Amino acid sequence: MSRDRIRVGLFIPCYIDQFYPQVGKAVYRFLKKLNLDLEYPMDQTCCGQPLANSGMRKESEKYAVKFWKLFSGFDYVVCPSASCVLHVREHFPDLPEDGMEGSFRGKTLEFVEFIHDILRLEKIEASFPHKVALIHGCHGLRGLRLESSSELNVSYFSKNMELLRQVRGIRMVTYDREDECCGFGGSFSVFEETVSVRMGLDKLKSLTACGAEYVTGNDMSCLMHLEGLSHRQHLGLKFIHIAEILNGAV
Amino acid sequence: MIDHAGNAAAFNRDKSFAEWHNETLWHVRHKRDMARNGVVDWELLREKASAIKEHTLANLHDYLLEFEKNALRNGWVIHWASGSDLHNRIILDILSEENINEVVKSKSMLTEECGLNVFLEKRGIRIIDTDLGERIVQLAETPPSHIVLPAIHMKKKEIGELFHKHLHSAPGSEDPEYLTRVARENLRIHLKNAKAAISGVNFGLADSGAIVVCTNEGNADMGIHHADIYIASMGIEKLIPGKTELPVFLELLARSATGQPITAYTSHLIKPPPGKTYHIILVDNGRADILSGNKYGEVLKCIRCGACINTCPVYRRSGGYSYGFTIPGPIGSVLAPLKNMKKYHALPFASTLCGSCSDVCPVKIDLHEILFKLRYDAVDAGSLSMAKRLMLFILDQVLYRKSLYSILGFFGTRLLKYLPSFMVYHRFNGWGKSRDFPGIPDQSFKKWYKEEIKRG
Amino acid sequence: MDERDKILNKLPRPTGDKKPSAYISMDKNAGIDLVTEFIGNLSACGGRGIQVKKENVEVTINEIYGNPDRVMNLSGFSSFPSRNTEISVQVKIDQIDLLIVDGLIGVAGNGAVWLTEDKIGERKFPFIATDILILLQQDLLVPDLFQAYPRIDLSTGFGLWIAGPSKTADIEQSLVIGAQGALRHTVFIFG
Repeated sequence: MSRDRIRVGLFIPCYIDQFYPQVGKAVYRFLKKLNLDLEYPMDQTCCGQPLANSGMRKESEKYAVKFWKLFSGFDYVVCPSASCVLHVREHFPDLPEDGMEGSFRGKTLEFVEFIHDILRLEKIEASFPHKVALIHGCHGLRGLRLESSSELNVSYFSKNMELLRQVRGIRMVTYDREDECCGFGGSFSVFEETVSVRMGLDKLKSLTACGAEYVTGNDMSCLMHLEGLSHRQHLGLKFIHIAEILNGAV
Repeated sequence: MIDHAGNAAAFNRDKSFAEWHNETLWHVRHKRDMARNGVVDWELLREKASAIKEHTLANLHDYLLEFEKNALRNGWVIHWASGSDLHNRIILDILSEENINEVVKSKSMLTEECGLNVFLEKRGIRIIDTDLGERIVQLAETPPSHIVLPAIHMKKKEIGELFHKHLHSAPGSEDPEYLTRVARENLRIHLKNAKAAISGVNFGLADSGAIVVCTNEGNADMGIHHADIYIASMGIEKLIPGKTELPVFLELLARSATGQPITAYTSHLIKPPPGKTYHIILVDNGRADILSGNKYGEVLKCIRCGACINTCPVYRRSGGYSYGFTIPGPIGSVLAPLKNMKKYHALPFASTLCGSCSDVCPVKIDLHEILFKLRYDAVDAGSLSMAKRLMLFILDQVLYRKSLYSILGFFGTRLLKYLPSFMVYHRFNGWGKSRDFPGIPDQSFKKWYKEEIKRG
Repeated sequence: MDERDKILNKLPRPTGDKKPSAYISMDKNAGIDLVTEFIGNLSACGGRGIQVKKENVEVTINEIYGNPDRVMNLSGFSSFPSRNTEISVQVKIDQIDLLIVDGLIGVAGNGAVWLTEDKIGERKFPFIATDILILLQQDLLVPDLFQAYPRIDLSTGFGLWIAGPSKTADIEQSLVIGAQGALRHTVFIFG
């Protein structure tokens, strides 16, 4: 299938819509450049993950119905949040509508996953001459398996790094305990404030020690948590979604 | 009711200790990684361990009968206990019959679960925990804070003071080697004079009617082999088919637990020697219910290595006691609410669902997924506080309705921008206490997209 | 209903599915040096492995242990004597300075040696002894536990994997060798 025949529905998570529209724009522009048949259904709001992760099964289910109605017509649903994608894939209830099971879940993809696995882009045209540290959001890492996790005895792989390495001028830096959780965890960040903050500050300690200027990742929510802490501590780190880097925006 | 968040906050008040705890347990996780690196087939072993346990649990009825038959033939006395009370009562009866008033015990999470120590002490029987860590917490009159490292929450200074008071070590001494020697001399007296010994069980072999006990200190064997009476407390889920399957688990257990290739002693207790009596108590205490509940049966695959605890970023920063349950960390957060949802409903929420526990688990229990499902159960059981429910109700209203979401989103972000910071950041705001809110963009993505479409 | 039936009746109906295979291919072990591997892993366990020529066993024991008081020598490969001749008939032994026994299988992958009841005198001896010396024929080394268990007979009374001296890290995770059991652990590999 040629690219302009692939119908892609763009799912921009609620908090990105409100707080980080530049991430949505980067995804949109990136995919637009590839001539995909791209559409952003205007009635979308949220996937319901904040409720489901808080235990509100019943309340969260209607989000799945709504999501299904808005996106079922697309070949793929692409979303710049590993966490939301994981929710759709693994925690959406089994709806009575036809086709919900199986294929539909598999068609909802995280942005990097989509360009790496489906489009198999061989070249990324972008430049980002900075020292960058990648944080490995847990839902992308151990949920979607965008990268190998340190617990497993498997050969190293990272879909993120494969793409980032192609960006001109970028210098990726590594740091201590790379794939330990940053402590965001959705409502955990509020209800378990002490531990969440402790985890975030520990992560920031490694990130500042490695000399990174920018911190990037697949989940703006983890980055928002770290950014909030970093800003309060005046650490001077900058936070940017991986789609923004890949789109070449500086 | 356990308030994990509150307990965690208390734990973090001593910042340097909290940091030490985190670092030390991370180091155990690191040692585990190193040991795992030496095993090419690690992931295959995990798959096999998981499949064997699943199979055994699915056929536990038959394996228990096979085990019973073979153990009886080997000369064991077999007891069955559906609950902790009966388990304790059986031990009391065995000891009373022989007029035994002191018993040595090696580490057993099952006897912790059953509250055996308190039960026996109340009835005039002295029980001596002989594992060093267990002995420390016993002297301190506290429960263990970790299933493999019972005294990991204590500093050597504290332990030195405790030993000085109880074991007459030199005042002010805190050298681990010296303190270990002091405990050794004292414990060896108890061990050598033991009339009765109790231990837990790592594996029960159905085809051999034998049990396997893994230790590093040698205390379990010292006790068992000196005593005339030995009592093994065994949860019914500890069974595996037999010796063909055993190496799968032995290759995984110590490496996962402490990063050792194998424990110093792996004892296969098959038959009692002449003149001695060996008992096994097969304990249910809620296990059959979990298994027949069909939903979370896989938690019984657990071999109590503690790897999920060591890797858990929340446990490392909140300590074992914050869970208020015999077993802390992810596995405890799963087992506790299965036992008593009302009391432990906070525990499934004491996780970021990062999934490290599931990836580290040698028997592939999908711990973080079970924690997620238990959150549903907690809410279904009406366990969430009014305040949280209200908050989530409002969140639901805002997120679901497009119009409300847009308006509130707009005003919310605008409000954040213009409200004086003291109104945004206050002590009731869990987000803002230590974190700033993101900067406020001029327009939402939705608004931008609308204009973009118009622009063509 | 008694407790036994109460528990058994609660359990789900057995599925009767086939036992999954525990077999792990041994290809990965081709060409590894079992002695080196064994000594390395035993050392990681806090023990000591020494390759010794058969004819030098006595001399080496002497070199290492000198002339300890209470030796219990149960090995069929060494006649290293005990100065305390009473010891082998003593019923209540509360101290053995050096216990010498024969190992039945050695596992290169983890440094463990398989001991059985008939080779150790009494079950408690390996735990009481201050020093334990195991004599192990080199051709009894196998790469891992999977190759060890088919050779193990579990119809005896007691068998034991022993890997290193007793140890603990229960005080602030500081490793201390010599907890309740043996303080030192040595394996001679000869052949």
